[in-house]
Amino acid sequence: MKNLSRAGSMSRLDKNNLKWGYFFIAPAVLGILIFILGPMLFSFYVSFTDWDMMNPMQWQGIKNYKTMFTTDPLYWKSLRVTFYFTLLNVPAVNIFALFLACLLNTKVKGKSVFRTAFYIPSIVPIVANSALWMFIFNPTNGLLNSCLEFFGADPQKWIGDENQVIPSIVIMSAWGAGSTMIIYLAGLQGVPKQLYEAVDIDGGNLFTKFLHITLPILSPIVFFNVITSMIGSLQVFTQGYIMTQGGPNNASLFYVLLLYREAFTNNRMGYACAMAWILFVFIALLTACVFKSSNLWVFYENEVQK
Amino acid sequence: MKKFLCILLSGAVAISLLSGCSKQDSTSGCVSKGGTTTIKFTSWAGGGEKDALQKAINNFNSTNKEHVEVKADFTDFNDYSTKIDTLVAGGTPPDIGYVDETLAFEWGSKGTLKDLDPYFQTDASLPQAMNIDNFVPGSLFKNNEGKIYGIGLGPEIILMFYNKKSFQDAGIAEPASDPKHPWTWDQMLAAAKKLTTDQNGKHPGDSGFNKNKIKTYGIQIPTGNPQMLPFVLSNDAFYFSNDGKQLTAASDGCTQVFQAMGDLMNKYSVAPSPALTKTMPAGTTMLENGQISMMVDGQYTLATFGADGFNLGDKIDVAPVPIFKTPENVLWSCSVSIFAGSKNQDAAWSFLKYLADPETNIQMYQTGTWVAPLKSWYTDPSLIQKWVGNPLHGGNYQKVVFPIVTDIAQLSPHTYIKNWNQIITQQVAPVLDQVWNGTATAKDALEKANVEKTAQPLLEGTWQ
Repeated sequence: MKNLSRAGSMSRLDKNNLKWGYFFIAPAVLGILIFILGPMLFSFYVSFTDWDMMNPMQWQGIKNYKTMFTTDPLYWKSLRVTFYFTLLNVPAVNIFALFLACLLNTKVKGKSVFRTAFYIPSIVPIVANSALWMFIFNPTNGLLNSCLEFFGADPQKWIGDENQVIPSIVIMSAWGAGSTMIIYLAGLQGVPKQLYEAVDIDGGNLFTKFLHITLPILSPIVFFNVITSMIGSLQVFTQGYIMTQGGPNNASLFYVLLLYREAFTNNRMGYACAMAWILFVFIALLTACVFKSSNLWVFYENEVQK
Repeated sequence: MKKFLCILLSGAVAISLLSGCSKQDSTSGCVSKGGTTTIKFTSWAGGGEKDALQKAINNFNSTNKEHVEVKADFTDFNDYSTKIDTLVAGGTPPDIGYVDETLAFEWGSKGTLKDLDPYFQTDASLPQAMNIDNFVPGSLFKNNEGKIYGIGLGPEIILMFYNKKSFQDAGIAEPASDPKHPWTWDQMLAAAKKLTTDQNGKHPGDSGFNKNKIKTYGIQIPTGNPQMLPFVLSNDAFYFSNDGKQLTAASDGCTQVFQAMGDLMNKYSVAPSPALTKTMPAGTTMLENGQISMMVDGQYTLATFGADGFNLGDKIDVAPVPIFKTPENVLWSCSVSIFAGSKNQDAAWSFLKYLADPETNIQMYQTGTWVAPLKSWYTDPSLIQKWVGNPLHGGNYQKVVFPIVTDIAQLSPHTYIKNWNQIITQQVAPVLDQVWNGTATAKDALEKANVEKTAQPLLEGTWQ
């Protein structure tokens, strides 16, 4: 590669290339500035106002933030609901995806068929997904209750029951773990085979192989997937909006669902923007925590001293 | 050549990026070539109501002398207020449109809706029948200062529809049809028990009755407001104090009613819970099939029955809702309002006048979508004949509906209590989910949720 640091000046060719470089990334950069960064800053400003979209904004200072944490009766409920969901969903999705990936990593006939079959649910549009699962969860003649009855068990209320609604949505989410599975599968290909052979020689079973070879080598991938699934889980919305509308008794009143309701049903744009920014802070803090903890459990192969 | 192609390609990409910024083509306020003013009318009407409205609009477009053309935009009810918010915020409000009755006073006082009182006072071509005093109480959104923020074209009340054949087959007398002496709750419950059967033909209370395998339900009751208000009011109870500043939803009167409703679903299994109702076909379809025998809902349901070919007095009929103590009902109408941001307010007013005159818009009333908003249409025989003199409005319709509209119903409080949506729909109603699911009694659920305390900041009184 050409050395650009020659006496601080660039050749004409380099300057030309640079110009074209800027030109080609301009649409993407402009897009981010105009459609993402700009509205973000605008919403930050709005979060300090009272705005119902019809009348001019009224400056409120930090009143919105104060109301959120003190007088809004549903705010803490939505936080609890969202954290509960994340706590269940992240392990469920990752464990299930890893399990599937390990199965697919073995010598099984029709591997690509299985891989496709497991992956397809994750590309079904989430609205269609929600409609489908509403049918599956149907308490009278849905798929799940029919299976339970076949085995003689009691029918459950699934998303109609306060205590079952979040686990039900987690089940639905685990069904769509295909994309996470593909990433784990790719990671599994990168485990050196001689390490497995070493375990065979030293005497160890499948369990040892998994716990002491596969997992540590995969830990960067686990790290990535945990962070992405955590960020996604904290922003869950569509399932609540389509299937339960936050019920029953606010048991599935997700944070973003409450935000949407405050913004578009109650016309409190300023409050909703404040909620959005607090969510951003939460996600950033949690991600930072996971990053910090990664020193303890994530093992990077290239750090090993030879 | 290659360089030229590159420039062309990146130019195309840049242009397609910018096309996302273009403003939506708005049809409000444009005057087309022939001098016609096009106005935009938004509504959430669906089914029979939408068909009737479209007919009225087509009729208006072809017969009006002010060269006004109406373009209708129908949006699903759940997305409607979001859409209006976006339009208003974007500076392109519709000229005229439906406004949810819980929002009409609020938007009016914020200046989003135009005050119609000047039109009423000064319009010389206003028909005599449209005098302010001739409107049924509750059909004009008039506040204490005399400002009128909308006309309620289709006042609605709550009724009980029932399947005549189900009653004949079970050998039970049909519900009482005198609205001043309707069935009591207990009478309704006794009938519902006989009308509910599981897949083996057993009734609730019979041994071997399987409540998970019910084939026909005795009754379907609403759990939303204002549809369940007549039940509550008939027990001399209400969610708010008279000035709207105190929440009394946990009072004994109210919890008795909630518990009775929940018992229908869980204790007696004669009614489906809301969770079940979500998964079943439309109530009207089920009533027509006999899957439910009684159904409590608004008068507007008649339009759907009519569209399905079911006339009152033939296979189905109507009765007043069952009561606890005294006959009560609520009357409300969504508002049709002119938006203050419209650039064609006079054109919108000419359309609104047209819509408000039952004479020119008779299909809406004949098809059962609306009841007449003018008092004269309940007393003058020639006018009565015009809108109920058809097979659809047969059976007990006049006997039940007329006294309710003129004597019994009160203006539904959900139109004039401030923050009704946040307090009742978003805070009290979720707590009641436990009652409909049978996981808690009404009294326990409401006491535990302490809604009276949490709703405190929202209790701001009334708009009127």
